[in-house]
Amino acid sequence: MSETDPKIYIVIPAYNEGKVIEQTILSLKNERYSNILVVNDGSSDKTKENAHLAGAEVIDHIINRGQGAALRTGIEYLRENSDPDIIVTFDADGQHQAKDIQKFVELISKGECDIALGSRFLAKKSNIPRLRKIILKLGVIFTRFISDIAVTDTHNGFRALGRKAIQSIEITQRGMEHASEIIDEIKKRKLSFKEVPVEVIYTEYSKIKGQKNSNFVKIGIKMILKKLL
Amino acid sequence: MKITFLNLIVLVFGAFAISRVFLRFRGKELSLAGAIFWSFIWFTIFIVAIFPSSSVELAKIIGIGRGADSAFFISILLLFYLIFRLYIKLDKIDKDLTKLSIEISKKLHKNNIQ
Repeated sequence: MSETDPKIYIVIPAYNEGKVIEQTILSLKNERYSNILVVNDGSSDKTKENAHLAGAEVIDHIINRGQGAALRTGIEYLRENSDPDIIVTFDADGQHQAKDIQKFVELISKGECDIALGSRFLAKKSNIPRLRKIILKLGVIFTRFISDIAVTDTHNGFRALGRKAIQSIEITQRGMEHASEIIDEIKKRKLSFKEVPVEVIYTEYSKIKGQKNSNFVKIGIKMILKKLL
Repeated sequence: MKITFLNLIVLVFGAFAISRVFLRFRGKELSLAGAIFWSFIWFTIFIVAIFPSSSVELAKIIGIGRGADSAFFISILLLFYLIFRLYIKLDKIDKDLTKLSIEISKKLHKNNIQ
């Protein structure tokens, strides 16, 4: 890495991902990303130990507070201590591909946007289950209505924040609603954004571990309440 | 227009509730959209208290045959307000808990690596 290369940090929120976290971290290391921060969100399995073994830095939540809170911890910690140029948020369950990060980094480094959002719908390869596809599309319409912003994939944990986004985005929703909140923040903080086609691989593991389809109703209600209360 | 004792209670209570909405909004515990929403709700109740006939009209529209029973009305009003308060408090406690756990995590980690 040369002096002019941007300081890239990968933040991985993880809750009971002990079985796969090591592999996820190694895939990032294979692509030469060395600043990996895992936020262990009060896991009861070996997430912390395995992430350490794979060579990542691990911050521990004493109790489980949700993915939004874990991301907030990671982003705030880096903002306060590491002066990052780019923070990439990456799922722990192996759904995302480390090779895709380069596309995000290029966009931000060239100053084409403040935040780059991964979209599984712009990529042809993703094997999205049909029901999940319909729900995600409904989420896109909902976000357009609630946040007045047009994106093709609202609930994708794969994104990259440039300096302006790192300094300004505030995550207050501790659960999965944070993904909708980040879209809201883009509009509120007047950040420029671009979408990046990413391949999302649904494995049997990720389908079991990931969000349940019924969760999206809860997310919708929480977002409406957030606007009202 | 005749204001009954019951109307007066609702008016005073409504005024109190609106003042709470305003104070919460000023204290940044309530968003602008939230303040508008709750003001609208209490304002509607206000209107109904001043012009009880409007509730009869409303009852006709929704299809309730008779006018509101006063005890039920006040109970629902109270419960509604209590739920509103409870929600705000619970939400604040939940947010504080998250903030606390985030701050502890960051601090512990920083101390560990130093």
